[in-house]
Amino acid sequence: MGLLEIRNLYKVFSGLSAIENVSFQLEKGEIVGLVGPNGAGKTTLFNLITGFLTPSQGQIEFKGKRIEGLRPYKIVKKGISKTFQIPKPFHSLTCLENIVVSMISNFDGARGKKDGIEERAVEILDAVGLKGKGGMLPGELTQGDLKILEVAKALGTDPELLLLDEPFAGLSLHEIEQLAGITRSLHEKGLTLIIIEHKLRELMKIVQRVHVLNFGVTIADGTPEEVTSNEQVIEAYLGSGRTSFASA
Amino acid sequence: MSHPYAKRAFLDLNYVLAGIVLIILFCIPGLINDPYIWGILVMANIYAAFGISFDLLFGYAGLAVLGFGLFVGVGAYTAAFLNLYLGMPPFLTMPIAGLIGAIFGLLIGIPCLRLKGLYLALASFAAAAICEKLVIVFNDITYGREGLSGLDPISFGSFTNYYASLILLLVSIGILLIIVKSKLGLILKSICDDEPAAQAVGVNTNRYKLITFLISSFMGGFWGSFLAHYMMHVGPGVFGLHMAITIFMVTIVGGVGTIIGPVGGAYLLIIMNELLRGIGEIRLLIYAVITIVIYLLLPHGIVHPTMTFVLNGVKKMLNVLGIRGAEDNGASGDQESV
Repeated sequence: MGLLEIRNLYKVFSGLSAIENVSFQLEKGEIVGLVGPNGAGKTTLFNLITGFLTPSQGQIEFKGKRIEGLRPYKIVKKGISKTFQIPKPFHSLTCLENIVVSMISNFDGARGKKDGIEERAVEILDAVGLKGKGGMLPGELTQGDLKILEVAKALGTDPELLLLDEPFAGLSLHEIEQLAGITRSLHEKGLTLIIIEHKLRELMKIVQRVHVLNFGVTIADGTPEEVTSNEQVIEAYLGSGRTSFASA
Repeated sequence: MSHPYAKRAFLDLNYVLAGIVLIILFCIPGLINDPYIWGILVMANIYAAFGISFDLLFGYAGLAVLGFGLFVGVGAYTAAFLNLYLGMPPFLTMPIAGLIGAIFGLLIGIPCLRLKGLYLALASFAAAAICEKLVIVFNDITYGREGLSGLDPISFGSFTNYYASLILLLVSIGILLIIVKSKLGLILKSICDDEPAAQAVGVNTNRYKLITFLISSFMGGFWGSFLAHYMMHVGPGVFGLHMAITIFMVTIVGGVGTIIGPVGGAYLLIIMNELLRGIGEIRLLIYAVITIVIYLLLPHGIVHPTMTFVLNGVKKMLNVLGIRGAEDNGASGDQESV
């Protein structure tokens, strides 16, 4: 049994299929890339997993239990957390308070665990490289730090599965390297990750497996090497007539 | 080790300034021996209480409940019924009115959970307008447009009324400050900033919005009953547009999301309203223009910039006098530091 199992998932918006018969399995400790051209349904799939959207049909199981249709906060408490493509920090709260909010929400009802939340939030900030920035407001951070804060907020919920939506978008090479390092480190600590990313070169360096969507349909699933040499994937990304990513 | 919250920590000078304001407020009856002035200040205290209760909903949870007068009206009529028909004294009617206000808060809050912004403002105001009409329709017990008169006063002495309103206001401020400085306050701010982002980190936003509705509507009901007992009368106007707009303006002019701000807003607007009373109905126009100008020039309200200005002045004075530490301890310009 996988950590996450998606079976025959559909999502239809006003007659238009955004996700069509997608099945997907994720093992504990895996780090998987979710790719596809714009409009392929990647973010929709994230929203279905995290409860922001309800599937039209199909099943999503997390640790053997059905989660489709549950409210987002309940899914977070089960151990799935996500980041947004465009960072959504709480602007009126300091960086530290941003993480504290995610921690206290996660520990609702677990009395006794609330002790030392601030200290643990500081540890998360330090771990992701935002040491000394706990008292700053998000508006004072660089784009790279905002992306890192987004990851830190998600880590505050103590997830088993972390979904990162285009973490590298809008970042400089240096910032991408920094965030990729954080992602690798989280994976090494045992966290399971799914990463949506358009920057394939950077993504392929850190993922073990890639799942490719196009027009809401799975067109490939395999190792980075298998996927980048798949004709359907090359055609979806580069158009017909191309034979490899290298020739693009 | 500096605490991570250091940037938003309370400032000693703020405490000093708050202490000075408190001393002045407590000494007013001794300084100005005029029950008419005390009466104006009681009204300022009442509207300050409405403002801070509304601020919890609007400034912290981002819920633009324009129909806040609903809770005030429910509290006022509850107090009137209990006092006039059952003979309950004010100290009993007020908490019960708060509870009934909270029940209405839940009744309004649950269907309004899916609404935001203007839609929430209109839906809540419509609920208040319906209550206003119901009060007029059931005139056998409510005496329709005339309203109910002859309620027991809080006290027959203006002096006691003033201190009762001031002490209850301070208690209300204290309770709300404890709430907004707690982790609940952080969660409310997160919902106000970005609701989907709050949901994404596990916040049950509906639950916290309902908690806010409950607290705020309890206070609205409680202070609505205080108003009714103080005026010894309640009419359908408490549900109306004038009440809604006044509470909204008190909060906006004072400073949204500060709790302390609406107190300053209430004092300014209520006193200004009285000062302009002598010039007739044109005062409403002047009143509105002044309010708009304040809002345009000071979009974050009057209280925070005023306190920053005063604190900076004090800081400079302390520096001139050579008192060390004032530089580090002064106003940071952080709203939360008020």
